[in-house]
Amino acid sequence: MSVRIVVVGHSAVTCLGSDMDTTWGNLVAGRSGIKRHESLSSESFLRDVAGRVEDVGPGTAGEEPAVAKLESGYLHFALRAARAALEDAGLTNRRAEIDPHRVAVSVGSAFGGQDLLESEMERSRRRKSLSMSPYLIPALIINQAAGQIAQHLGFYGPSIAPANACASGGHAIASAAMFLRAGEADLALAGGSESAFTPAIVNGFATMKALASQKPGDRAFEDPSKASRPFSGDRNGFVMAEGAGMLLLATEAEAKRLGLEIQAELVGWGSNTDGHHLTMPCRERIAHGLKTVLQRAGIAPESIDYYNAHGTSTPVNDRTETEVLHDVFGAHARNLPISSIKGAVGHALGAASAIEAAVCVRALREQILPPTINFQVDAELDLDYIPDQARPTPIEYALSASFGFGGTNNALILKRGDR
Amino acid sequence: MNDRLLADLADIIRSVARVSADVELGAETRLIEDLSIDSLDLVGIILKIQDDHGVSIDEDDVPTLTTLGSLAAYVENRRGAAAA
Repeated sequence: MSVRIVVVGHSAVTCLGSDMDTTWGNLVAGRSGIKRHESLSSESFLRDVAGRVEDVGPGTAGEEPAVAKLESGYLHFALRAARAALEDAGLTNRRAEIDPHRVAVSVGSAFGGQDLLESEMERSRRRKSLSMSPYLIPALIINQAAGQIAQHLGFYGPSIAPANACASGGHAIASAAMFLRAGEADLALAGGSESAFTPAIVNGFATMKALASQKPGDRAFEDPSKASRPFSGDRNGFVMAEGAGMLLLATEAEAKRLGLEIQAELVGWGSNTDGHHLTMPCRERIAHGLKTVLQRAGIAPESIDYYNAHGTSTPVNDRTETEVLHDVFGAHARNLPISSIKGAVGHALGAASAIEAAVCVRALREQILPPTINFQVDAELDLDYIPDQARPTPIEYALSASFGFGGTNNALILKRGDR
Repeated sequence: MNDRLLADLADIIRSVARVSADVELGAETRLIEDLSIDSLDLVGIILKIQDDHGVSIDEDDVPTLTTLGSLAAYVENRRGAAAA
């Protein structure tokens, strides 16, 4: 019998709150973390509506002193989330009981330290010098989030950094689960982190028409909190956000040895690739991927009680994802509650699926489903998207999916923890 | 020794290498032994000095700049050379 992988800690840093409790509280209250930001001025940015984390990161009151020299937001978010996940498990002061060589760290990101790269290039132009900060390369490389967590928290097992665009966090969690099941570690910090508010990235997404428009007449023009509206008839793009999400995974044996609460069980995970297009999702391949994950986990589609959607608020993603759900769940699709938290927290790119995994753990624990806010019916989309109001519901299994540019797909199945 | 320059360089060292305000910095302070400044910090400090003080620091000279005082003397000397 294969090793059970359990969740013993979870955390998030989002525009709704710099910790999990605040994020969750605002999420189930139906609040949005999306607004206009003066830091995204029209001189440099094509969009100023975003989900920014304003109280954590380089130069803020919530700066992580251990990585202060590395002025790249994703490192600060990742380290904060990692500490919080350990704290959530009650392990902060129990380090002597853990073999540090048996703790893996797996943290994904789409863009890593691109924010520092662009600020250094700008600085270089101003100085008329070709030299760069000596911290640029160490902060730019995507595995540095795992590296800094390992360095400052003292974990020396395997580390890895999946760079799988908007599915990075989910892939990081799956990779960590594989380390645990393979016997290479007993515990694993696993998640994603992102802070990519640079002119090149914001304007790149805007120019390719991926971002929500900010035109007069749109309901978000006067109220930016309505810009991200997954599965709505008038959705017109995603809203960029930043943050981090982290799970502390353990083998069942390690969780029991340490007497940790089993918050949830990671009963299934998997990934596949569209092999189809630069950016467009492929209905057939995603459906195949989700069916495979369910089959491998030995879980009937009808057993899934909640589907946590990728739900970006782009016309193509939300239509394709709805079609996929019909393909995978058949008649059960119409009874399956579905929500995208991106209406509230925006799209935190490589961190998004890790934040969503943390939210699923909380949903399983609280038996409350977070809503899809800003929802207005789309006549072509016919499922139950949990519009606007959180819903108390008995749930045993949650499935969270994420899809990234480059055709990378990921799915995680979480089961309610032991009671 | 130019006290103003010494104070300016101390501020640069504090900000780049994140040296605590509790640690006193003086002409005799050794960058590596006393402050645990590593090679990346040192490069960052040199770049910042070049930016802020408009001097060029030859990388071959960097190994000789072991104390705050030697750094200040070097910068003062380079400023003088540039002005001459």
